[in-house]
Amino acid sequence: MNRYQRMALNCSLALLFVAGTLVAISWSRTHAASPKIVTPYNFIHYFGTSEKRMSAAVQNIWPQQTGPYCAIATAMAVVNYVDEEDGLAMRFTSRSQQYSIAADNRKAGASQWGYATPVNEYAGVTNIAPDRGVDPRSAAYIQQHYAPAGTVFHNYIYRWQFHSSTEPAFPTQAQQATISLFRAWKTYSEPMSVIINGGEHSVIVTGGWARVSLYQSDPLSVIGLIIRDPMFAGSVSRFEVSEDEWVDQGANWGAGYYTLWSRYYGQRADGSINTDDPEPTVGIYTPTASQPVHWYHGFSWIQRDNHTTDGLSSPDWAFTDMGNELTAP
Amino acid sequence: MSSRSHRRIARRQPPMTRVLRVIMYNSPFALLGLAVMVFAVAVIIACGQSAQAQPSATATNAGTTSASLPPGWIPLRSQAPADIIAAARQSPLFQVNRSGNGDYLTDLSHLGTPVLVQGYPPTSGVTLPDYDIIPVLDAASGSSVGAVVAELNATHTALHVQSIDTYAIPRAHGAIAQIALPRALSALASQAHTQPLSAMPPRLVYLNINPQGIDQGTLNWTGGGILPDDPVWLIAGADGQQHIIGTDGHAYLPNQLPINH
Repeated sequence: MNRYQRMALNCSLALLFVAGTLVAISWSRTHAASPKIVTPYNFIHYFGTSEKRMSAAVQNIWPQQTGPYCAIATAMAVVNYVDEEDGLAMRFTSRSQQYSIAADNRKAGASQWGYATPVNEYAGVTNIAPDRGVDPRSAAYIQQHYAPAGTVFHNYIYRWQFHSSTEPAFPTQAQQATISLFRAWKTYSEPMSVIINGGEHSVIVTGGWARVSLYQSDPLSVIGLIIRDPMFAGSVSRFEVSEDEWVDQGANWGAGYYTLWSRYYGQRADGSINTDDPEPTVGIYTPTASQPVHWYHGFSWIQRDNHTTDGLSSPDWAFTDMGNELTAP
Repeated sequence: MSSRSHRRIARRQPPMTRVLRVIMYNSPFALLGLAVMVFAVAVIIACGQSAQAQPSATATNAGTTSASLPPGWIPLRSQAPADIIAAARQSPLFQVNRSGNGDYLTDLSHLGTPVLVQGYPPTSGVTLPDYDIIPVLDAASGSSVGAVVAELNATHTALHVQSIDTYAIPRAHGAIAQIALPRALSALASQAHTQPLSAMPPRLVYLNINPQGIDQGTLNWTGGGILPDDPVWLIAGADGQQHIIGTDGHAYLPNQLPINH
């Protein structure tokens, strides 16, 4: 081999090496830098309820009556939906039954620890907190009381301490809590009564879309949620909201009231404490010096489950979003 | 070895061996040529993929790029209906599978002309963003079965799809307002006994009402306008007053509204 041949061979090998390196680098950049762009949308799945049943469940019983009837109205919708699933006639057929439930609440339904005072005309003796309306324990009680026998509902609570030893950024907490809703839909594709706006309001979250992976049981991220709000049911029956709206921004209409899950339970839009929806004052969930919060600094909703043994079926019991019984605040 | 002896040896070699020798002699140069071509292809691939991996920093008429916007915001080329719709369609809510029987609008393929809805009243220190409301149409009837609620930034160079809403009752002729303008003008004339000021055309607004009062039982408001996609008419009257025609058909003066100032 003469020197020209050797030079040609060396140049060829060098060029091939550089070309290979270029292709490898660009491939790795494309696949590592933009997973969100590359992740195909055919991995986005819908979880939740059927439109037909959901519309039927609310059509005769909403909008909510003026006053804090939102949790009563959402509970009625959930009960109607379960009735439909079970092939039963829907239990609630008129808006006026919101008043009937409130009247019933004034007579019965107290927790095993008693009830909070002062009572109000909506939740009566079913609250464990001196709430302006219906507290989460009361909401769980109403759903279970009127649902078909054997159907069990509990108040589920997300707090970051259930997941990690260090506090993640707020949007991460709200995202983790939201993924818990999707976890629930994997078992029961039913509407859930979810408390929003810092505890001030209840809506039905009927479903949502999430990005899922074959290799992970929980969804990777949330795309959007579907809300039915008894307050606006006369004009807008359903809101499909984006994930950033739900956990990050809230709505910019409504004078800042409609914060969705961009605020903790117990936190107003301006960050002040929501005195309309205080913590429990009776029972084991009453905050203490060492355990200062129950609903506050977290997110709450009412979820169907199968905790029926060892006395756990009572709606008095609250659970973490991971499904563990809460034995203290 | 002399050239004569070379020729003698060459003559003694069979033709196949001669061909092989030529190939062997030229193969490093052929390989070099091939390597140059492979290198060129690699450069093209690398340039192409690097351009693809860049965030879509689309420039708009006002210089807004997606890279300079908060997450979820989409640059707007202009306020032309086609550009508004094209931007809204980039929202993740448009990318999901809408087949099946889930609780969502199943057909977003027919969108009407976007309508600008502004907040009322403008209050210093309070940001009431403008919205582009895009009707979601039923293909058969042309009625609005819902609306895409797109919040605009202050300069109208980007939008954010807050939600896609379903109307409780479809609104005829692709409308987003419950009350058509002729009926609103009629209400103005019959109830407020005035005519619209011709210099200021009526516009659709949402009201800065805090719905907390509904939850607390202290507000019983039936005039609508809380949601940007359920707007009311704001009409400047020849009497010098602003008039609001609610979704209940009533003509209100600003001081009759439960609005937050």
